[in-house]
Amino acid sequence: MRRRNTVICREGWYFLLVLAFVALSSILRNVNMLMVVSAIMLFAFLLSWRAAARALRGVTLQRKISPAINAGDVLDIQLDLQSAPSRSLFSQAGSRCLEIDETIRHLLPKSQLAKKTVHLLCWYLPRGGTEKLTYRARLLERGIYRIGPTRIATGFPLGLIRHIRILDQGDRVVVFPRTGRLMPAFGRLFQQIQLGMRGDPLRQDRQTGDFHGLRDWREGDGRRMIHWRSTARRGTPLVREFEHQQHQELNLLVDLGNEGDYRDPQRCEQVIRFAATIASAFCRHGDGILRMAIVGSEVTFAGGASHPRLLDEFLTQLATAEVQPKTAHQETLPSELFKEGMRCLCRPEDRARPTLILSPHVWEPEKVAAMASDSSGNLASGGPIRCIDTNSSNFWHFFDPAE
Amino acid sequence: MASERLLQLLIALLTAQGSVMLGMGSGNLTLPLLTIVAATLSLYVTDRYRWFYLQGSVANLAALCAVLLSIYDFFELERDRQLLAIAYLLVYLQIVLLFQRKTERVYWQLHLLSLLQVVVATAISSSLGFGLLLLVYLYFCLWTGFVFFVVRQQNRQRTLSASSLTDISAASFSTEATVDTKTTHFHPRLALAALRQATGICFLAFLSFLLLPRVGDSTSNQKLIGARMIGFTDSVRLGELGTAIESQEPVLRLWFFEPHADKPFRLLGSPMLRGAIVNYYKNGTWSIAGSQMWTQEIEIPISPPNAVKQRIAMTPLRERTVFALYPPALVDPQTPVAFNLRTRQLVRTVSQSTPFDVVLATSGIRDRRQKRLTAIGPTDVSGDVALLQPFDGTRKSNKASERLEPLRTLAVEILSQADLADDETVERAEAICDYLKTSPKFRYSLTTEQRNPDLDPIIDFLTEHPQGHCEYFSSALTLMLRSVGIRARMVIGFQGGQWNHLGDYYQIRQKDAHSWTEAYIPESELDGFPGGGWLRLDPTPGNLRIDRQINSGVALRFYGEIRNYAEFLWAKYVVQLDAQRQREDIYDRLAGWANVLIDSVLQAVLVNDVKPEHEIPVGEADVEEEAGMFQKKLDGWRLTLWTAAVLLLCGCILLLRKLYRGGLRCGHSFPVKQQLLERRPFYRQWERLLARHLSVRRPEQTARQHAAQIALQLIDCGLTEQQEVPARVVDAHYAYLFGGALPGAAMEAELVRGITALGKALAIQRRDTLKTS
Repeated sequence: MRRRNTVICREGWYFLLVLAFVALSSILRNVNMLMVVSAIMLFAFLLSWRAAARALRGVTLQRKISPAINAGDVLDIQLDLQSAPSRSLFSQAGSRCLEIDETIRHLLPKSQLAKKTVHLLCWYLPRGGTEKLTYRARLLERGIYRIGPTRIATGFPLGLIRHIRILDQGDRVVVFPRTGRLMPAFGRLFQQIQLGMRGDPLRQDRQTGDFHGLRDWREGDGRRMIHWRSTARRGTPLVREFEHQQHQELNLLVDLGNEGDYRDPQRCEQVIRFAATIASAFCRHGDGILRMAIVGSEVTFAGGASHPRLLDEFLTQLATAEVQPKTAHQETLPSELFKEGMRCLCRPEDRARPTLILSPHVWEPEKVAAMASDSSGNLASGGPIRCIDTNSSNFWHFFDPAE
Repeated sequence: MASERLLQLLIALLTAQGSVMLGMGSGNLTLPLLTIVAATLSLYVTDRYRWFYLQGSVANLAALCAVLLSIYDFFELERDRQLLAIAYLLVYLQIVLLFQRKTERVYWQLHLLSLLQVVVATAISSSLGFGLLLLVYLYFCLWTGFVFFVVRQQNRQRTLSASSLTDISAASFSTEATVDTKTTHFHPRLALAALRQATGICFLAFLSFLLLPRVGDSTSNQKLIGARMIGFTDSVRLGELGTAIESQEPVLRLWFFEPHADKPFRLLGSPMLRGAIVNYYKNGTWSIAGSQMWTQEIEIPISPPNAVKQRIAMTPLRERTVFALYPPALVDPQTPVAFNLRTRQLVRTVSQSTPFDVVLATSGIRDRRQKRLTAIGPTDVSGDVALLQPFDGTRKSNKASERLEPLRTLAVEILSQADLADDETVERAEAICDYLKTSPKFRYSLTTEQRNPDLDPIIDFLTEHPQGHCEYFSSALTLMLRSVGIRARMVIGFQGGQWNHLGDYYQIRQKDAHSWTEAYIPESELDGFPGGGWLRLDPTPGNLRIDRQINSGVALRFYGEIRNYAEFLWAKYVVQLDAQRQREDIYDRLAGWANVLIDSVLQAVLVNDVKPEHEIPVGEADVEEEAGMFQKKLDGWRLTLWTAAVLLLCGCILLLRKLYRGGLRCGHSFPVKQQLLERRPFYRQWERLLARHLSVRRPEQTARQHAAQIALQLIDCGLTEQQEVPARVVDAHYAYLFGGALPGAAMEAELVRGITALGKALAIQRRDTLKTS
C-alpha cells in the first residue's frame, strides 16, 4: 500500500468547504471582493501545505541509545534532530511544532509482542541547527526490542495539513534478564563441583598462580606439591600453597521445559534470571571457561573463556529464550531437545568439566551422562553432574531474585 | 499558559474586528460596539478571573434565541439586506461563545465564525478602508491560527504525558519524555512568521486576482448610491434643501486630454459640468417646461479629430445622469451615452451596476480654459418663449410676473445705471450678473433662512433676506434676465472639484453641486455662432467652501489626494475590475511592456542595413530615405557583447550564491581540525561502525590502542581476515591528522571497502547470533 505523506486534517476539510462555498459565490455572483477573499483563503491553504512540507525537508535524526541494558533499568534514548542549512535566500525560518512518534516494540520472545508509541514534541528546530530530545523508558521484560521507526510529522502553521515522514527505521536494543543474587547454598554447590573437577588426575597438577605459603597435606594433593624440606623439618607432610585458584570451568545446561512443567508460571523467568546471574558471576571472575546450552523452544549454545563479550552473548541468548511449546509429543520432544543440549554442551576434550543442569525435571546423573555420550559411545562428560530442580521450593535456596 | 492567554486575546481581537468590518458594510454601529464590549468583558470576567461563564444549557438556550431572532430579521428585512440577518446571527453566536469556558472546540468555533463574518461583510462592503482592514484581519487571523495550533499541541502533549505513565499494552514498559528544546523567543518569532506569511499570501492573492481571466463582463460588488442627491435633480424647489449638507460622497472623476496626447492636463479655472436644465418657474420651484415632456433620447454628434477629450468615470449610482463639459461629442460611436431631450442632459444607456468610464470630446475648451460662450445645440429652440417665462406675456404668466415685479424693477434699475443699449445683450447680462455677484448686500450662505411666506422666495431673497446658496443666486439672475427680455435658463450641475496631483484628475463630490445661468445671445451679436450662443453666467459670489479648501493645509490636502488616488486605484483594479478592464488595463499593458522589452532587445542587436553610396543607383537613395525602408541585419559584435554581458551577469549571480552557501557552512563553529575531519568519510564510517557493532573508544584510550583492542575482538569473534582493518584506518587517520597528508582517492576507496566489508561481516554474525538465540 502506498504510504501517504500528506494528510488533510478534519479542520482542513472544513476550511476547504468554506473556501469552495466562497469561491463559488464569488464566481456566480461576480463579486470581486469575494474573489479576493477566496484567493486569500486558497493561498493560505497552499502556503500552509508548503510550510508543512518544507518544515520536514532536510531534517535528519540520529539516535543515541545503548545497545543492551538489563531488564528494569532505565533506558535513556537521545534523539538528535538536525536540520540541513537552507539554500534559499528567502527561506531562513526553522521548523516548528514537530511531532515525533517513536515506537517501542517487543520483538522477541514472540510471546510478548507488546508495543508502545512515545510522543515527543520539538517546538522549534532552527534551520541548520540541532535539537536534542531525550526520553526514558523502563523496559521491564527481557528480550529484543525495536526502537523505531521514528515518524516525524507537523501540521504547523494552521493545522489544516499534516505532513509525515519516516526519519529512521529504528535500532534494536537487547534487554538482558535481570540478575539476582546467588545464595550461599549455590556457592557451596559450585565449590563442590569445582573441587570434583580438580580431583581429576589430569587436572591436579595444573596449579597456577604464585606460591605464597605452605599448608598441611590433604587428600587429593599431588606428590609434586609436597615441600620436602619443610616436611622433613616438621615431620608432617606440607604442601606448597598457591594463590587462590581463579580458574573455573562449568558446563551449564538451562532446561526451560514447557509451560506445563512449572507450578508457578513466573518460575521460568526466575530460572532464566538464575542462569543469567550464574553467567554474570562466572564471567566476572575473569579466568574461567563457561559453556552454556539453553534448551527451550530450540537449543542454543555459547561458550568460551570468560570475556565481557561472552557474557553479552550468554545474556542475549537468555534474553530471547522461550519455553517449549505444548505439542502432541509432550513426552518425547523435551528429552530429545535435552539430549541435543547435552551433546552440544559436553565435548570429549572437556571430560572433567563439571556440569550443572537447571531443569524442571529431575534427571539422574547417569542418565544425563549417557545422554552426553557421543555416537561412538565415548563418555563425553567425566566431570561431576549436578541437577537443580527449578520446579521445587528448594530453588530459592540457590537463588534470590532480589526484587 | 502564556500561549493560551495570547490566544484568548487574539480571539477577542478577531471577533471585535470582524464585527467592525461587518458594521462598516451594513452601516450599523450598534452590534460592533456591543461585540467590542463583550469581547473585552469576556477577557477579564470569563478568561482571566473566571468570575462568570455560561453553562452549557444556558449557552444553548441563548444560541437558540439568537437563531430565532435572526430568522425573524431575515423575513423582516428587504431582500437585498437579508444577508445582514445571517451576519447578525454570527455576531450573536460569537457573543454567546465568548462567555463560555474556552476549550479547543470553542476557540475553533470562534475563529470560524469570525471568518464567516468577514466573508459576509466582504459581500456587502467594498471600500478601500474595508480592504485595508481586511489585510489587517488576515494578519491577525493567521497569527491566531498559529497560536491556536500551538495551544492545541500543548494540550495534547499534556494529555499524552499524563497517560504515558500508565501502561498501555502489557506491563512491559513505562516511559517518560523530556524535551530539551529552547522555547525562548517562541512567540515573537511566531508573530513574525505570521507577518511573513500574511505578506506572501496577500501578494499572491492579489496577483492571481489581477491575472486570472474573468468570466463575466460586469461586477456586482458595487454599492449603488441612491436616494435624492444634490446635482442630480431635474427640478429645484427653493428652500427645500434646508441647510445644505456638504457631503463628501464622490460622484465622478474627470480627466482632460489634449488632442493626440496621453497625459492629462489641468484646466485654468474650475470646470463646470452641466447636468439638467430647468426652464419653468413657479412659486419658488423650477422644473422642466410642460411642453417638453417627451422622453426621447438621441445620439450625440461624433467629435471632430482635434477636439479636447474628457474622460468621465462615474461612481455607481442609481441615477443615469452623466455630467460633462458641454458641448459633448462622441469619440467612439459605441460609447453608451445619449442625450435626453426632456431634461436636456446626457444619460447613460447601460446598466448602472457596471462601471461607467467613458471618453467624450468637447469643443468647450480653448487654450486650457473652459469657454463661456457655447454654440446652441441642434435641439435648442432659441425662440422658445419658455425661456422668458414668466415674463413671456401670456395670460398665465401675467399673474406670476406681477408677483415678481420688484425683480423686474431691480433689473431695469441696474441696466439703466449701466446705460447699455438693448442690443448689447452680453453686457446687459453681465451687468446684472455682476450686481448679484459683487454687491455687498448679498451673501453666500448654506444655512436655512426663514423667508417671508407672503413673498416669492426670490423676492424675499432680493429684498429682505439677501443671503442664500447658489440656487437663489442663479434663480434671481435667470428671472432678472428674463424680466428684461433676455432669454435665460437655469443649469444644474457640478463646479470645481479637487485636483489630484497623483492621478491628474478632478475628483467631483456631492458638495461640488452647483447651479448657474445661461443667457441666450442672438446670432447678430456674435461672430461664428450660427443661430446664436449661450453665455454662461455664475452669479454666486465666492463662498466659504472654497476658502476652507484653500486654507486646509498642505499636509492635509496631500493626505487627501493620496487617499483619493488610492481609492481610485482600488475601485479601478479591484472593485470594478471586469473582463474588459482586465483586458485593457492589465493584459494589453503587460503585452505592451513585453513588446517594448523585445523591441529594445532587438534594437540593441540589430542595425540598419545601409548600402554603401556607390552601390545605390542614382535617384533611389532619396526614395529609400523618405520611405524609411531600411532593412535590419544582425550585428555580430553587438550580439556578442550582449551575450557576454548576460553570461557575466549569470556568472556573478552563481558566484554570489556559492559564496553565500559557503558562508552558511562556515557558520558552524567547528574548529578547523574537526571541520577537516568531518570531511573524511572513511573515518566517519569507521566511527559509526564502532558504535553500532563494536565498542566505542574510551577517553583514556588512544586511537591506536583502541584499534588494537578492536583487532583482538575481531579475532575473538572469528573475523581474523579483517583484523588488520582497524590498524589501517587508524594509520590513515594519523597520517592525515598529524601529518596533514590526505589519503589518496584509491586508498580512501580501499579503506571504505574494507570498513564496509567488516561491517557486513559483523552484521551477519550478529544476525546469526540472534537466530541461534
